[in-house]
Amino acid sequence: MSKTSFFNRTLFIKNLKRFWPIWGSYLAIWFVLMPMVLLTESYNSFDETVYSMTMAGAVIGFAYAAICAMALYSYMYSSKSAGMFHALPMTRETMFITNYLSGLAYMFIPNLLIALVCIPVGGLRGDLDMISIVIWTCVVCGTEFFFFSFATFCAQFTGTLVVMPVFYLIWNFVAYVLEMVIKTMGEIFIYGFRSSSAGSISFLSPIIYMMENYGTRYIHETLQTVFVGAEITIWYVIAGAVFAILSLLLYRKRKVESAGDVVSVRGARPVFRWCVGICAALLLSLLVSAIFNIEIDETAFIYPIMTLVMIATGFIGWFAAEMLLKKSFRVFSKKSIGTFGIFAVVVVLCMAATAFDLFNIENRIPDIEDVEFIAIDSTEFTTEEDKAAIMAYHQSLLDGKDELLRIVRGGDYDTYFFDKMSYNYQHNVSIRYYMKDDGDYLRRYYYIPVTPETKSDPGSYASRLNALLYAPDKVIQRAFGSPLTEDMVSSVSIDFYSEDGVWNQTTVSGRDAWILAQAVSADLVAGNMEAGLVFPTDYETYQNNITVTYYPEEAEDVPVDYIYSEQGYHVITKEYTETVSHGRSFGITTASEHTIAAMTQLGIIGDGQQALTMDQY
Amino acid sequence: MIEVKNIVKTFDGFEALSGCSLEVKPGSVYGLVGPNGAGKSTLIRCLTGVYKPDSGQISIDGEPIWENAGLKSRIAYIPDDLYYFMSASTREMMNFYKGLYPKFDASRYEKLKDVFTSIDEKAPIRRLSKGMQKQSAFWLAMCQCPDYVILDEPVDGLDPVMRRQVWSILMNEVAERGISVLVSSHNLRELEDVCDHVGIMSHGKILLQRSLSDLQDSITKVQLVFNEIKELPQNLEVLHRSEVGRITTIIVRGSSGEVLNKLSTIDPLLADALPLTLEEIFIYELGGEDYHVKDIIL
Repeated sequence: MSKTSFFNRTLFIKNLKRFWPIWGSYLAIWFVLMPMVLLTESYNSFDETVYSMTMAGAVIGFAYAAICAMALYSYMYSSKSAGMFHALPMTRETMFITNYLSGLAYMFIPNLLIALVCIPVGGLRGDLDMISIVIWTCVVCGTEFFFFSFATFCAQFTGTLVVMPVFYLIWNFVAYVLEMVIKTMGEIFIYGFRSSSAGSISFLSPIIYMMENYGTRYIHETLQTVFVGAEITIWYVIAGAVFAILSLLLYRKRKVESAGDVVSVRGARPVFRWCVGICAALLLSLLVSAIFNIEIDETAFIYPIMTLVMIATGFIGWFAAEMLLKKSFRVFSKKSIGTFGIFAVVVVLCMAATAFDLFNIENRIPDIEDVEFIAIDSTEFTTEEDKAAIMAYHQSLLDGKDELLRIVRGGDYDTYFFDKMSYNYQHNVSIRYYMKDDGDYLRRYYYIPVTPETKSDPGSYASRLNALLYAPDKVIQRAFGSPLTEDMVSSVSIDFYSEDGVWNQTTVSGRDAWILAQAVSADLVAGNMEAGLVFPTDYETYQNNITVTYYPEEAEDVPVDYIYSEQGYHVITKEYTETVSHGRSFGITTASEHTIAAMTQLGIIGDGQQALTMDQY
Repeated sequence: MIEVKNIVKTFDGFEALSGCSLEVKPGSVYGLVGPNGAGKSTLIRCLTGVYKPDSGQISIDGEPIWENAGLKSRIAYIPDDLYYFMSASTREMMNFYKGLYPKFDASRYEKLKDVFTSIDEKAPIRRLSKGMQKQSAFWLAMCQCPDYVILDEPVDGLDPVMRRQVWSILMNEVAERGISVLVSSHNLRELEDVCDHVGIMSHGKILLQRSLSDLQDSITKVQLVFNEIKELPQNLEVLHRSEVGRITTIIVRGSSGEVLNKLSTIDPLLADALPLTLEEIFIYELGGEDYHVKDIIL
C-alpha cells in the first residue's frame, strides 16, 4: 500500500491501465489537431494555429471531462462495485483524491506531451512561438481542470451512471437557457419588456462564456497574434478548486447505499423536484404559448390562462421528478400532492406579481438623474430637455397600454412594404435608457399604429414620435454625429448610371463639396432624403446615391488595433491623433430640392448626366 | 474481537438493523443465521465499513471500523454478490490486491494454484461460472493473510468437493493463525460442522447468540411414549409437539437433563432425548418470531 496518506499508487496505476482508451483517444485527437496540422498546414502562422486550437481545447475539455468522470466514478453507481471499493483498505479521501488526480492526469499528461512535440514541429516550420505553446497548455489545462472538477461535483449528486452526464450538461447550460426562457416569457407577458444585455449570466454557462470570450487579436504594431480571454481561465480555475473541495466534502458524506438512486444526496431531492418542476413549467409553457400564439392583450386574461398552463406543466415536471426519485410510477400520494400544492401557490403568486407588476418591471421608467442618455433606434437624446420629453412619451405609451394592445392585436396590418397613399402598419418603438453608474441599459419595446390618420393627428403616438426623431439636431446627429462645418467636409461623390447601365462616379472637393454637403443637410432636416423613420415618404428615390466624406468632430471608439482610412491601413500608436474620415451615403429623392439644386448649380447634373428614378433607369 | 453494539441502520425509513449487537471472539468461527430479510448482509456491510450505521458502535480490536484503512487491511471480505473490474483476471486482481493489502502473500497465491486447479488465472473472472468466481474470491482472500474473514453466503455455488476444500483451508487458518471468521449462510448443516458460535438474527436484531454447544444444550427434542395420553408438566416450555401413533415428539426449551427430570413426573413409558440440529434449533427458535413452517392447504 502506498505510504502517501491521501494518494494510492496502486489505484492510480490501475486507473491508468483500465481506462487507457480514454486518455489514448484524447492524445490521438490532439496529436492530429496540433502537431499534424502544424506540420501540414502553412497558411496560418504557428501562433494563430495554436491559439485557434486553444479555443477548440475548451470544447474538447468540456466533453472529455465528463467522459473521464463517468469512467472514474462509475464504481459509485452500482451496489456491487461500490461495496467492493469501499471495503478496500483506503479512506474515502484517499480514494477520492487518487481518482480525481487520475482524471486530471488523463488530460494533463497528454497536453504536456503534445506541447513538447509541437516545439520541434515549430522549429521545422521556422516560426515556433513558445508563448503560444505555453498559453495553449495553461488555458487548456485550466479549462479542463474546471470542467473535470465540475463533472466530479455533478458525479456526487447521483447514484446512476446515465444521470451523471445529464446533470453535467444541464447544469452547464441551465443558467443560459433559463435566462433566455425567462426573458422570452417576459417579452410575451410583460407589456413593453425587452431583455437587455445587462445582468447576463452567461458566465454561469462556462462553455458558452468561453466561446464568447476566447479569441485572438492581431496587433499590427508588433505583427503578432495574441490570445484574448486567458484571464477568465484564472477565474474558472478558482471555481474548479472550489468544486473539487465541495466534491470531496460530499463524497465523505456519501452513502454507499445510494447507488442506483437518481439523486444520491438526500437534501438535494426536494431541490431536484422543485428545479424540474420550475424548468418544466417555464419551458413547456413557452411551448404552449408558441403553439397557441398566446401573448399579452388588453384583456389580461393571459395571466390566469398562463397560471393554469404553468401549474399543469409544472405538475408534469414535478411528478416526473418524483417518479425518478422514487423509481416508481406510484407517486400520487396525499403528501406529494400536498407538496405540489405549495408549488402551485408559488406559481400563482409569481403570476399575480407579474400581472400586477409588483416588481415594477412593466411600469418602470428610470429616474432622469440616473440616465446618461436615451436612444430610440439610432437616435440619441442627451440633453435634460430631450430626456424629459422621451420619458413623457414613454409614460404615455404605458398609460395607453390597453388602447395600444387593442389596436395592435385587433388591426389588420400590412407588411413593411406599403402603399404610399394608403398605409396601415405597426411601427416598433425601441427605447433604451443608458444608465450612468454601470453603463447598463434598460430596454423597452412598443408597437404603435401608423396610418394616414395618425400622420394628420399631431397628438397621435406616431406623430409625436416623428416629431421627436425629426428635430433638426437629431437628424444631423443621426447623419453626421454633429453639424458639419466647411473644414470637416473632405469630398462629395455622386453615383451615376449611363443609359447602357455603366456606373460612374463624380467626385468634388473643396468649396463645391461644402455646397453639396450643406444642401444634403438641408434636405435631411426637411425630411426630403431617405425613407421615413415613422411615416412613409411620398416621393421617389433616384438610383443615384450621394456620399459625403467628412472628418467627424469626435473620433469613434475603435475596438481593434488597426483601422482603415482613406490613406489605407493605419497602425495605432500612442501619439496617433489623426481622426478618420467617414463616408455617409444617402439616396437622392425627387423631393431632395436642395441637393438637386446644388447639383444643377455645380453642373454635376445636366445634359451629360442625369439623376434617374427606377422607372427611368 | 469484533464488537457490535446497538447499531441501527435505516434505508429510506425502513429499519434494517434495529439495535443489533453481537460479539465475535478472537479465534472463533461465528455463524450468523437468520431468515431472508433479517438484515444479515446489511450487518456484514456495516462490519466491513461499507455502510455507516445511523447509530451504535462497531469496533474490531477496540478500533472503530469506519474509515479505518489500517483495520480494513486486516479483513478479507467476500460478499454474496461479487464484483471485479471488467475483463480483470484472477492474476490481475492479485496484482491489484498485492498493492493494497500490506500482508498480501504472493507465494501463497502460487501455492493455492494447486487447490484451485479449475480456475484459469488469466481468464477474465466475469466470464467464469458463479462457482468459479467464488473460488477465485477465496483464492484472493486467503492470499491477503487476513486476521478477520467475513463471508456472506460463501459456499453458495461451490461444488461439494470445493466446499470441503474451502472450509478446510479456513479451518486451517483458524487453527494455525488464530483468525476470526464470521460467516453468514442458509446452509445450516454445513455451518454446524464449522461454527463454534452462532447468532440467530431476525427483524434487524440478534435474537440470541451462544456457543453452538450451549445452543444445542438449550433446546431438547424428546420422544415420548405413554400408556395413555397425559398432560405435559406445566413447567415445560414446549416449542413444538407432534404425535405419530403412540409416539409424541416434543421440542422443549431446556437442557436434556432438566427436561427429562420434569417429564419423569408424568411417568412416560419411554422418554428419549435426541440432539437437535442447528437447522431444527433455527426453525424452532424463530417459531416464537412468528416465522415458522405453516400448514397451508391450496
